[in-house]
Amino acid sequence: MNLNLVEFISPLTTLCAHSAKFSARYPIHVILVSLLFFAATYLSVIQYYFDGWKLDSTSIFASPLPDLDFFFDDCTHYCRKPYSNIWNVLETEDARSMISLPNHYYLLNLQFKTNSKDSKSLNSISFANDTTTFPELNGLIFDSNDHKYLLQQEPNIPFELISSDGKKWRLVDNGVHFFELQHLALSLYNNFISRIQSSKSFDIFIIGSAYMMVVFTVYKLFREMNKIGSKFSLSLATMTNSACALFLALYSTQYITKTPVSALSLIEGLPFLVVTFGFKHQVNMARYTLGQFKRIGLSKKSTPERIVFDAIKAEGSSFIYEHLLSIVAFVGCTLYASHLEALKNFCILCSFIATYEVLFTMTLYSAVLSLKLEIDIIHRSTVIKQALEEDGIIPMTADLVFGAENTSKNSKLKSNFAVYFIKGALTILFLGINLYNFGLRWASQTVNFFYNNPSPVISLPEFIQTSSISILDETVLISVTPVQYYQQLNMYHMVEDGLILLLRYFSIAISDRLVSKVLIFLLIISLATNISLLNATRIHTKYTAAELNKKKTDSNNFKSLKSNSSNLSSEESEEDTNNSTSNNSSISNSTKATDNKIGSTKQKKKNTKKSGNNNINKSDKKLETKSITDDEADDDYSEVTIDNLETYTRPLTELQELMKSGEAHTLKNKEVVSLVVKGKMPLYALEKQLKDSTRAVKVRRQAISLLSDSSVLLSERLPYKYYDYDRVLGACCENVIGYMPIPVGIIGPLIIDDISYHIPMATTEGCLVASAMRGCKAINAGGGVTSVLTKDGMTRGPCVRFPSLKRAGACKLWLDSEEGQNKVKKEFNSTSRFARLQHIQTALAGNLLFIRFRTTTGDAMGMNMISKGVEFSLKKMIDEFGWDDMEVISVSGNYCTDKKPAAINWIEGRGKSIVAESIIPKDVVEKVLKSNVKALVELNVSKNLVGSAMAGSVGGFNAHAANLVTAVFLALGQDPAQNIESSNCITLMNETLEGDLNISVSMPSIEVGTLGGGTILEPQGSMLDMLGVRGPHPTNPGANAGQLAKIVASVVLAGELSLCSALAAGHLVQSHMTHNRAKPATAANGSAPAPAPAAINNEELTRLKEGSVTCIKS
Amino acid sequence: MKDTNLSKTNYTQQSRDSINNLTKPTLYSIYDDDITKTASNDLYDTINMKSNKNSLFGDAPSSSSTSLLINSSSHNLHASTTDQLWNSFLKLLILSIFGILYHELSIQLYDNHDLKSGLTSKPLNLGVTLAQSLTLGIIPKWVSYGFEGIFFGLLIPCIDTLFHIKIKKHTYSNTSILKSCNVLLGVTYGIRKLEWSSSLQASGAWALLNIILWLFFDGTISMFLSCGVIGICCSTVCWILMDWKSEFGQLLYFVDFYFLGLLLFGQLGRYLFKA
Repeated sequence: MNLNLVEFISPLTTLCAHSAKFSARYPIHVILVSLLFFAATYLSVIQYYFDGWKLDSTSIFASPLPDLDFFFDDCTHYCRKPYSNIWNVLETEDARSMISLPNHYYLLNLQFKTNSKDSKSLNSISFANDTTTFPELNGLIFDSNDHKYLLQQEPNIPFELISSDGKKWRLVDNGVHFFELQHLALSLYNNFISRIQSSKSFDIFIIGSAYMMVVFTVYKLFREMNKIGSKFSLSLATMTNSACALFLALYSTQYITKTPVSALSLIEGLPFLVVTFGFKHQVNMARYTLGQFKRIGLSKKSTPERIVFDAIKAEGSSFIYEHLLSIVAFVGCTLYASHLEALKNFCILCSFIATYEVLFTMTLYSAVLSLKLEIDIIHRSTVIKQALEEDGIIPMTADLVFGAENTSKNSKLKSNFAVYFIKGALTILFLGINLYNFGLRWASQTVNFFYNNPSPVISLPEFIQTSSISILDETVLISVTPVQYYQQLNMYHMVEDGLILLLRYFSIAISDRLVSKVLIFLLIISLATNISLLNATRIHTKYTAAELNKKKTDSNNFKSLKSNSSNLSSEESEEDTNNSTSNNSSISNSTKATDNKIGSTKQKKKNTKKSGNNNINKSDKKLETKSITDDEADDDYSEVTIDNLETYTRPLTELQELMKSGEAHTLKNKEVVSLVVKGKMPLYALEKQLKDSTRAVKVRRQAISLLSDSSVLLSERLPYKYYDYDRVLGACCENVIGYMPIPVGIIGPLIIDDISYHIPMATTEGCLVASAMRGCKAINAGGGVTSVLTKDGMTRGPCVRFPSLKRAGACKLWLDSEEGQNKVKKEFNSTSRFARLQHIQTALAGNLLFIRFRTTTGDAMGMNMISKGVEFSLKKMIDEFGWDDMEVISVSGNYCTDKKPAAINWIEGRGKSIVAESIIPKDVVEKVLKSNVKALVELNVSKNLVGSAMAGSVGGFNAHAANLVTAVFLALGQDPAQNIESSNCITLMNETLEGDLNISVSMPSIEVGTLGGGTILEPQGSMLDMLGVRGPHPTNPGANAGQLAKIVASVVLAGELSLCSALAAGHLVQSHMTHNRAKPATAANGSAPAPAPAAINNEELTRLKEGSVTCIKS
Repeated sequence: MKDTNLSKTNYTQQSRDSINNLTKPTLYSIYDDDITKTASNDLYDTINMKSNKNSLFGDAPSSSSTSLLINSSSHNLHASTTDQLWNSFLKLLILSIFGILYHELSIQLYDNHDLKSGLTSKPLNLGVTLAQSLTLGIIPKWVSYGFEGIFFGLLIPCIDTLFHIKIKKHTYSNTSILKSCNVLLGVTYGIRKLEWSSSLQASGAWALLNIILWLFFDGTISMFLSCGVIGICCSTVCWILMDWKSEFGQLLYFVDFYFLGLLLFGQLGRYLFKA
């Protein structure tokens, strides 16, 4: 029993989902506003924690605006009481109280460094030697070669000095970078060690574990996001989302509730919070969203905001529930332990974080998801369109295609480069901003800040301590400053100066009142442009999605318009006498002319008696009814013959005129049929003339039935309704009269290379699916199928002829040479983005040369693609490569070999070459397959190997591979004729050392595609969707088709295993005996009926046995 | 009804004709009668069983019901007895390790008032004493702590099995275990480090937090009752052991610690044996 509180918050979830939907609709706006919030809070929080952008004060004079307070803090203060000779070190606060003393001096220690080329130190800087000339300084009280001490009441040293030899000296930051890094590392290490030593080991263990869990959580986030298809962007977005929540919460606690959380509390507490909240829900939302995207086709009207809305509805409940619980817990803790300030403040922070996390997830993260989806959809739609064009689905000229491909190739390259460039630039910019703000030395300050390390004590120089200054009667305070380094001016400084000047110039320019306004204006323009671009791309996506259904929609619209107009006009004629103020008069008027043209021998049967108002809905309903009635009347061909057809229609000449004027679609069906049967309108032109594919099919059926004098097509025995013929035309079939339904069964789950599939099979052979299903069961029990794609290349073998054998031979040798191969490859590859010529194989027969091109074809089966490439390559051979006497006999010279039995496919392979194997445990063979391993192996050798060899088979060393291949091909929109070579298969079985069965199928020529051909039809496409291999693979062209080939081979494996087992088990006899026993028949849910009839006489039984044996033999 | 019967009769008749006239596909005559019964749910059971087995160190399957792809192992799915034994051993080993770590945690739990170091380990030590006395002191203490881990880990799955309690499998994953461990460590850290006014205050806060954590991680009544009963039992035993002199704050600590502990072990048990 679960306490299901999640359901109680469903209204809140819905509200959040609406918020997410809004954000998804305007992603750029939301992301921009969120990031602005983030940036503002980030800067405020960082400023708070790092104490007003505290920079390295030791180089304070290098700054144009030195902060003397910070400088004072970094000094070591020595005080000498009146009449005393002892210098005491003072705390900064004590020293500050004495700052107004008249005898307060700053002792500035200046150190001069020179550039030494022969220095052995790791850095190129060393301290000055005796020969160096140093600049003259005022107020010098002590000089020790490169060390000079100045005593001043106000610290003031020049930024640059010039020595007598003309050399310039520049005040530089403290120390050398390398030393500083070393120092940073050392100080970090020392602090860490001292912290560890002062802490209890168990505390360290707890904090250490928490941090390790954080690392694991982040790693898991990236891994999970990677799994669902986002390598970087969504993981980063998720972390940014949480960071936004954190910084806004910190800002809220610091400036709104005034309950700041110390850095130490954050360091100790945050890891626990990060692990507890985790990123699971964000990952689930992303998974849902991207999963939905993978499932939707271009024809669906699922928008990104809708998907995001659904994602929040589906996955957001538990997210909100957990965060609400957390908020309750933290608020409760705040109230309960209000006197424990650290705990209270931390709990307030956590409750803010939880709240903002929900807020940002419903806005920022949703917007990012939507944007990701938009980009993916745009990418996918473009890829599909291009791929379809390449496969010849949308007719385009070769030049156009070629041009488009070149452009797209370049643009793809550019876009990839641009994406990486932008990613890199953003990262560098982010780091740059931080480094610039903090200075390169920020880290040591940060460490000092966190660990409260006091500034190092600077000892008082010897010359002061040992000086013979007489005892004074006043208190003297000397603030010894950290060492200030001067360095000789060099090229580095000049570059630095240039950069600083440039930056300063920019900062001044930006802060200018006019320029700043212009910049803001430009920013707004840029934002608006981005939004417009996104909207434009959305329009493009919608256009692409609508393109596939455009014709259908148009024709449907036209049909309804026609229906409406014809009915409205009839109604109008009636109603005009009573009331001419019609709401739809404009429609009727516009259509009236058409009606007049086509004549009005129609629709006078019914007149509605409803007067007065013209309710459109009501009239529509009436019109629909009427239209159907008219259609039915129009479809009545019971008494119609070719001879008397004209009695039902207008004169043929009038119809011809209307047809010529492009008004054929306004004719009645019988009139169109009349035109067809009289040979005035060709059958193939019906779709074009009628502008409605379904109506064209219907008219064609009527015309054919009259022409063939058969009424079969007038009935609906061959169905034609409810089918998307727009996809068929120009791609799948011509002269369409309907579609042939084939039963589709399903087998599975079948585990293929760790993934479980349900595979559809279209067949009319009973028992085939059941047989394959048994095979699946056995294979799964053994661990599934392991498959390997050994070769992938579609082939086309044109036949060319030369005037002489000599020339033919020379061409063969040239094509076989590296030069020839490379030249042809280059030309061939230029015709497509996916086609990459792998090899050219040649064969000579007399002066006939056969050239077998083998190429990759992406995810398309690829015959169109390869044909285009072959034609182009042959043209180039004739025009440019010196084979102008070559005569192309045929682009396909049967050396491919396509859809014909041929040894070359069996030996060389064609399409995808797959080897699949499975280990079936002994007991599974016995229990599931009801056979035994030894019998199976023996049967396989006898039947599939020896038997086929005796029959002189080529590629037929299997039991019934073609059965499975064809069934799968039909269900998945593959070319069924290619089952000839696709069914080439050798089935091998062995007994393993453990006594298990090792079965494998090797299929060298599986020809499949997930794009184009029958796959563009919705039913077949949906089956491919079910397998997750529809369309082009987003990242790895050809991967989907390769996977489909593996699936085909695996199904064959299942079928082979099952059938061979049944044969080996001798179920044939058993089956006959079953018939003999005459069991009562049982059939459930359309499954195959049990074989036993109630009574079979002996004569029938004998006939059955003989027939069965005959069947098996055959 | 009559029509239905009639149609059934016709169907049977047609079937018979089909067989008699040998229009029935050849394949039927090759296979046995059960061939059409292969498509049973045991196929899914096999796969699910193996998926669960593989999720021993992986995540629970996605809650998304729309996915048709089920991840599984490439290894031999035919689970042999040796495999099952090995898996069970691994699961018990994990529980044992958690048991030993839990004992260590109980030793390290203290606050700035009445809860002294090692106090919360008293019930665990009692179990060890019992185990050692039963085995005549053969087994070392750490093994006993391991056994206690196994006991805690198996308790909730056993209760689920006994009372036929259905759980949402996707609730339990390695992430949820990680979160539970994280929370347990976090609470321990908070109890140790914060300057509480009294032990009662700390234990009271923890008790309230426990309820939220139960809702956060699990939300099943069976878990709540089991954790509560175990917590109260431990507290009572300690009260008796300490001669009825314990402060209420101390006793509440026992309830808290063992409630949260069993919540962790319950999740772990359900993850390993149920999900």
